[in-house]
Amino acid sequence: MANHAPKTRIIKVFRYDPAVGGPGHFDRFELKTDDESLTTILDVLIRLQKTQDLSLAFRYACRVSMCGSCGMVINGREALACKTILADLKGEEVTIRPLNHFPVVKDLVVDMEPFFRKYEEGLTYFHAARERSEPAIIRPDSRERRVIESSTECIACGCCVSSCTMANWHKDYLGPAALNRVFTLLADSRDGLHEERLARSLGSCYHCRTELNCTEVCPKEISATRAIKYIQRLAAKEVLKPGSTVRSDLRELMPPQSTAPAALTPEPEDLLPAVPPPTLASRREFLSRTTLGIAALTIVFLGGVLAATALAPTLRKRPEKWVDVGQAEDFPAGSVKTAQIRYPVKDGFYESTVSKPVFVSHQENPDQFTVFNSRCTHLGCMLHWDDGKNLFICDCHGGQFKPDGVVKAGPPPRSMDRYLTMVQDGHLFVQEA
Amino acid sequence: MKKIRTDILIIGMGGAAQLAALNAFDANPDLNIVIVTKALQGKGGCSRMVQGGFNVVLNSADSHEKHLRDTLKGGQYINNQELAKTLVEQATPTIKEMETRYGCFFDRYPDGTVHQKPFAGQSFDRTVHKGDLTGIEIISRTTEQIMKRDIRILEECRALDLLADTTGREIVGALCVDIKQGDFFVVEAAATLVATGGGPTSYRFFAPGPEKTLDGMGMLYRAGVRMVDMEMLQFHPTGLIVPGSVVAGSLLEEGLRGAGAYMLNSLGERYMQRYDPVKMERTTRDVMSRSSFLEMMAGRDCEHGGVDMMAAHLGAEFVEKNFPGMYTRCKLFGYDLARKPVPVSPAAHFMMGGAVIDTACHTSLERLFAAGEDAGGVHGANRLGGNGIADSCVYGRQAGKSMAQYLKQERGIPQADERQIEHLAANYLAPFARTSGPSPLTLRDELREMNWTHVGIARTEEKLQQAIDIIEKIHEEVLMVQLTGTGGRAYNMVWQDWIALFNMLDVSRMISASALQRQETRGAHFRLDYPKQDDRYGLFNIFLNRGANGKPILEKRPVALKYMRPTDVVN
Amino acid sequence: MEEEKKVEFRYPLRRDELDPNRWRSTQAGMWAWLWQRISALAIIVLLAIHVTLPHRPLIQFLLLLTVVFHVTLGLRVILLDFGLVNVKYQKALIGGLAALGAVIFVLVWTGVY
Repeated sequence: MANHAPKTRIIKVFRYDPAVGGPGHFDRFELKTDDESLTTILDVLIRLQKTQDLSLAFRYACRVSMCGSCGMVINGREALACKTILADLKGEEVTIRPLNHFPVVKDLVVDMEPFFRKYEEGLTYFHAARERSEPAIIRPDSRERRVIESSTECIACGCCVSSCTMANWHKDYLGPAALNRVFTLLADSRDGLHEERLARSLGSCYHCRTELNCTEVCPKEISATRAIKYIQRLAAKEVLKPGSTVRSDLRELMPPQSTAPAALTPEPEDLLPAVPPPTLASRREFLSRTTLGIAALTIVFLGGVLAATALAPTLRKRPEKWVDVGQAEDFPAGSVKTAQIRYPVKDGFYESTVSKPVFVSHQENPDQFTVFNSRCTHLGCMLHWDDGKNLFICDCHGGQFKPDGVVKAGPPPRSMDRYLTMVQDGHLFVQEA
Repeated sequence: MKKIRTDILIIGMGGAAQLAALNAFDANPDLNIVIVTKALQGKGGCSRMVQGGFNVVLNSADSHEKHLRDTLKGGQYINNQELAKTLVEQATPTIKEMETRYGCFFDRYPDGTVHQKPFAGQSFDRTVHKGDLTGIEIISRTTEQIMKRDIRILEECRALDLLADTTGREIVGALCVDIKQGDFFVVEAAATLVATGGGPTSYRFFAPGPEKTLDGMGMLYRAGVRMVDMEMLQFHPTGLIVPGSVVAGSLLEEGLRGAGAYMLNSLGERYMQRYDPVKMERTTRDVMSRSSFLEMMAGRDCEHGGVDMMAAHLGAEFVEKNFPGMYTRCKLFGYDLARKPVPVSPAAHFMMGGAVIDTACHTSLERLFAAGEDAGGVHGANRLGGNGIADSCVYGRQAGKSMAQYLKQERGIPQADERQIEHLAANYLAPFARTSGPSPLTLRDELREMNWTHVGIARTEEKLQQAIDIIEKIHEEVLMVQLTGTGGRAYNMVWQDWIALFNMLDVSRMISASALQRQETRGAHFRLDYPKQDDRYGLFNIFLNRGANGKPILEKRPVALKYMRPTDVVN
Repeated sequence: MEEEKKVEFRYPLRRDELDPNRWRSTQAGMWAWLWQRISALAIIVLLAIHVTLPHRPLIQFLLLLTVVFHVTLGLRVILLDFGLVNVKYQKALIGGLAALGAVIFVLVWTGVY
């Protein structure tokens, strides 16, 4: 039974102030509650805000676990603040931080835009198979309703996506919440987008590694794992079905079939004469050699696979990306100017814009632009151009570079890094990896 | 300041707002529609929190006439009969579209047809539901439909005030603030719909989520829209008491009393035998709330200041099986609904009053529409359980169609008055410049406490007079608020709470002034100094407009008994 | 024309970033997945040792143990994948199959030696 006596707890809350930026930090509060069994984490936050720090930000709306606004990570586990009772948390400390995989707006508030974008990508909306004027006759004990169960009660709180360790590794992974909705629609006989939806989720449903984190944390006790398994089975069946339209989409998504020459897999008859007549010693020797060979092959193969998986993303040839620096005429001959370049990068669920300065030098040769990376080659500090001294200067350790990028003084080991440049339609472009 | 120009601006994203957007878009997909919601998409509003269900006539043994009669009887005959008639008639096609076009799936009878359960005050079992989470099913499905269509959603953007043209008779859009960024922006629209929902969180105990702050009604009032029935505020009899928690006030379903749960005072008496010996606990919400309140006032209140709801005698298994949602909600706080009494109190729940509209949702101002809880007149003096979500969906649908129709003739997007915008924005930023002054959070508590004791369930002339003065005093203090220590404008919750106070204050003004005017007891409006309902007093509605000094100017007008008279209804 | 965002959002948090409680809160399902990966690596190593140094009871014991453990967890995923067991019994499945694995292990070990 819960303890009803007053108790003081240490509450550590993640803080991020958008006006300051940076990685954020934890603030430590002490809070005394009269009865922890009647206190939710949402109450804790409201009281902290009221009595200790008015700038504390968190999100909530309905406070009775119906809207899914207050999802956060409480003591290392995703939960709704309004549904988590303080007394149920063990230990002296309570740690509260925002959900994973979503940009943090302020303190515990995250931007849910990536969540809804992924959700939409799965065509997670009903589309009637045919015009009807009356609700369909579907028995509550019909197979489809027994399969769907209460999975339509998702409140889109994002806890499952935050708990999923695969969500930020696979760009095309729709995530547990979207796939759960896809599942309920695929199972719904009234829906008319079955094949399109299945095709959309094919590239996605096999990214699940059956860790069941989403199932564990769901505040509505819905199992997205169950939903994903259902889609996987449906997809497998669909692929085996002759004349399936989904199949062609799947082929595109699957790695190309290996076309190993038949000669490498010899017929059993060819194999037999090669084996020496079995004697006890030679048999043992043969078996141990074969096993050793298989083991070695396994190690080489698996090692290769592991190494390839680990290294491939870094070795993969990225498409050349030319980034616009600005109008070429804005950089008159004989000048060195600083310009900002911007381009989008995508990392899992999150898409952001990189913005960084570069130096455009139009001094060496009137026809040619040289664009320098703005980082010092010593330890990567930001350089700046000093017009008076006619030098690039690093404030960290006093490195100096001449206008052509060559080291003049200080610790830098080599000249400044240059970009490949190109002028097209009056615009100067640099190549960014 | 950023400006967005659009054909239709919809403020809010609950049932009424979403149905309006969907119906306007489906009527004409060329229309640019912008939804401004202060919560995340689909997560705000009370529609999502609907537990019970949706009253609708589907069975051939039932009829629209019966549903209308129940609605008028529940509303104590002061409903706008035209609106009530449209509600019951349009509910039928609305619920069918929910199933066939938006993909909702409501509970079924074993034969596969849509199940309808009994609800208080109804002559026929006509409440369509999805377990005890009907709102989640409706709003989740309609939110997806919004995603499917080319409708722009500005989430976590709060509409602050409606913008009028220079004559003040035409609404040209709204001034909004992006909560995440803390920046103001303006939406100019050819047609504007206010569908934020109500949610009387201006009381000590309230049932709606705390994020609901009466924004729509405050905005409408300040824009000069004509309002009606503002004294009619429903208190739900069984809000759960959780001392010190924000969950306090969340509802325990009416079905529990329907199933035979007892209400007990501190002496362990079933006190309803004093107030309604015939129907006992199965009486209507207004009578039940009032009786509980009188017991509490008489000093027969239980441990936490409320009364006890007892369902143990129904059998623990029965309660756990039939009310799983309610059972788990109580269990979260260590209350055992199936075996022990649970502390409850009446909680402020629903605004029957609101903007005066016609069946096409036009308000008294040009280009301005209202639907759902922001509009008044549908429910009269008391709303039936299950008519709330029906109202939001039906009138949202009406509004959507009506706006599409309106924009067939009128597609020009007007310009907002720059001076008005700058003036408003400066006012909303004023507290950041101050270094001393009261805290908005304390003032909000003060207002909630004052409303609860002075303009609550039982009202008297003396208390209402006092309330009118106290509201003005609190308003003056609200104008002096400072926001030191609350951080910048980005996601500044205390700043948002301060903004909400203006809406709460305006609605409190309307409620107390109207309540003072109605010298009788009727439905949810209970006057200790006029404790009897007196039909000789006359059936009338109280209309009001904002006067020059910010206080309401009231006008009583008799009810138009267009389809049914009280005598028809009683029989 | 969209105005530039005035406020910078922080880059998304990662699973165990800044969170000392994360591993303590890791649930059975994820441990099962993680340990299956670890046991797979262990099998490769043990298999190699076993082949080069046959007839070492300790190595054989460990290899058999790891293989049974790996198979147990693998069977669980197969049962879940094909919907042969409801996902809600996933934790019971770990315990049940582990017990079954232990019995098989004891039988094989005592049977062979």
